[in-house]
Amino acid sequence: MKRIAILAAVIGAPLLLFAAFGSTPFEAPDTAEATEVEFLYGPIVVQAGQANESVPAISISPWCTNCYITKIVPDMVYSTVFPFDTVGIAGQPANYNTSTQHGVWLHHDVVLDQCLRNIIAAGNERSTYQAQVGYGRYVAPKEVDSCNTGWYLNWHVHNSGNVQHSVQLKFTVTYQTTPLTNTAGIWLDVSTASDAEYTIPAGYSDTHTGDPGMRPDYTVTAAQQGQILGMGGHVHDYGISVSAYNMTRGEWICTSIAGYGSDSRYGPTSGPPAPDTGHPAAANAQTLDHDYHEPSSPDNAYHIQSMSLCSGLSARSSVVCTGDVLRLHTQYNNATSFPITDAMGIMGAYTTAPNADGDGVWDGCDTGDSDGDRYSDRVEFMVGTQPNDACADNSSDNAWPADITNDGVSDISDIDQLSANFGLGVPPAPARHDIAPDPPGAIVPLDAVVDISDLDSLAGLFGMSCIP
Amino acid sequence: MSLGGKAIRSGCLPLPLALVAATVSLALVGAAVATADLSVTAIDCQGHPRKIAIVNGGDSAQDLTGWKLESDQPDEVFDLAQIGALGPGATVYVFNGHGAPEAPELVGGSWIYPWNPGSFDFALWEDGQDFIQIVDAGGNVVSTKPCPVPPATPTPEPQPQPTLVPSDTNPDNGSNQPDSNQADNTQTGGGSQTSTGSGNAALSSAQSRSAAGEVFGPPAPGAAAPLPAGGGPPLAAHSIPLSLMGILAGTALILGGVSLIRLALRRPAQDA
Repeated sequence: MKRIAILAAVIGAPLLLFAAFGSTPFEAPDTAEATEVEFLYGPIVVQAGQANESVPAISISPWCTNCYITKIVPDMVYSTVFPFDTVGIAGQPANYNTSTQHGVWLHHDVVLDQCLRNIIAAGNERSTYQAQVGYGRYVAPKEVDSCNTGWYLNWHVHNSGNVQHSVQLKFTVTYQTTPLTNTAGIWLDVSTASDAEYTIPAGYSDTHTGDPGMRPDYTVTAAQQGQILGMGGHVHDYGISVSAYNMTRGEWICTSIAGYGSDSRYGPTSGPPAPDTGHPAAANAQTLDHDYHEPSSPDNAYHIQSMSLCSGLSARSSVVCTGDVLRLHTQYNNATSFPITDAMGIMGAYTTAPNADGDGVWDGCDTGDSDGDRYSDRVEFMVGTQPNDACADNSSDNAWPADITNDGVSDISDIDQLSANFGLGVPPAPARHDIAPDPPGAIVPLDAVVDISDLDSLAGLFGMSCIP
Repeated sequence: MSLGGKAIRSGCLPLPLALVAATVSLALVGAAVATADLSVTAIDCQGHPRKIAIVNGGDSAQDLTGWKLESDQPDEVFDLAQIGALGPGATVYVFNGHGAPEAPELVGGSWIYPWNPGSFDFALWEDGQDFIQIVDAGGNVVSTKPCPVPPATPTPEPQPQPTLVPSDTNPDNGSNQPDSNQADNTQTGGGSQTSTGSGNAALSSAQSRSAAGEVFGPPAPGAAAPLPAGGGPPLAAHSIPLSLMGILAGTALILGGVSLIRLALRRPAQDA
């Protein structure tokens, strides 16, 4: 059963008499059930034509501890507490909303733990973090992880309208204490600035980590290696896309594409022809969401309203191992006559790292062979067989790479299967048919082609059977 | 042709000399027109930051010592001398106010110079009157560009007035929500818990509130009351009802407390 609890963040002025009750720290209820809680921070008052930035960030308590966060929905709403907004309805999303009297928008907000690890960040598109079923981000008690002694929240809210606004930052958080598979986060940013902003020239630009003046390419740490389960990005108006490339493995991981309402003046015109999947030629054209219509109606000032997300990545593109070097590519096509000083290029990913043999190395990066079937754990991860199971129990139990038909024997039926795709790349050939090579010392196993190396691998085990 | 030849000869100069003279004259004329030609080519009077693009459309560099950008107010002056000289065909940008870089920045081959970075006291506004102009060292206006006329403002919508409800008399419920919100606000974890990072005062751009309600950063004017971010409309309209409500709530508490005390004092006597 899901319990919904809304926690009002602020006591209104008439309750100043009871102000002491408002400073009680929040503690998550000890529940194993999925719990959804709304956290509201503010009010934040923004004058017409101005902005409000939290400098420095404010301290907040972790949303829960000894818990697994499975979903975070970021939003910004008109204030539910004093001072109320004079235009917007309390609790309703605050955005451009077409009218000149609205126009308050979320440049960004960020929640970090005390070690500055990202919990969530959102721009005005307000993308939801949703873990896959069975996964969650574990928040350890502060006694175990001092990074959770306190968290930080910072924000940057703009008001393009012609009246003052009062808003609150809202995070709807779903968590549970029932153990889930833990995930780790990876945070990639083009800019070196603490506010993640950088300047782009007029016209087309493709800015990377590793460029002069930009953040260096990112090196994956031991705590982050694993399988990327989901990834998303953030750019601003005139942005086309932001994408992540694994330079070590030569694989595009995710391309997050901006979405704009039809005929948006901020929608970038097409860039150069796409040379690869990391550089789409154009942003996504979408049905206009009037929440994103700037208050200069009735012109076509429709701001960026979405970023596409990546999930269900192929095994090959989802692998990140310790030491892998990742590069961001951020495309803009700035149609104004001026450089833009607050461009952003950010991506966030979350990973998981199952470990079949308990040796501390994630299977997708493990050159060892946990089940003794003569294929390394890292090959089995990419092939789609189980690193800790050497023998199929039934025809749908992918256990042994050499047994493509899952009948317990590596024989002519497996060679027949593989031969049908001989010479093809992966994809379109299934990853199950690319089982070699796996030379010792190689950083990346397999060659993404069904070829003689795969036939050789089968031939070497021809006629052998396994025992369930 | 012959007439031309006669004309040249009648000028008392042999043809080669005439050609040399003509060439020299053209060269002199050419030198005379090889000038700088600065102009404001684009202007943004609405964005953060405000933006000005200046292009030297001439064919020689211009030393900008003594040159200025001026807007409609006497104190809105940007000293162009810090740019040094602007080469022929070159573009330089001046970004004003919030969003401008803190220091000159080279982007795409052109420099951006900051003018009062971080300030919301912008030099340019889309008010139908504002403008920017380049003034040379001699005080001559060499280029002017007006801000665009603002789009017509639609008739203001009727504004719903927020309703302040009386203080919640349950001290365990640490919130003060309008009735419409209270229906949705179910407390969890018991009693008065609120999410942190919040307080009973508005968070201004110069002031933030810690988890325990502690205010840090520069003090805002009128610190205890809810504060607008930048000296906006005063809250005087709210102060009277708030004061009255505070007085009423305080009076009610005092009366209630006195009644409880009296009741408590009476009970032993009655029991006896």
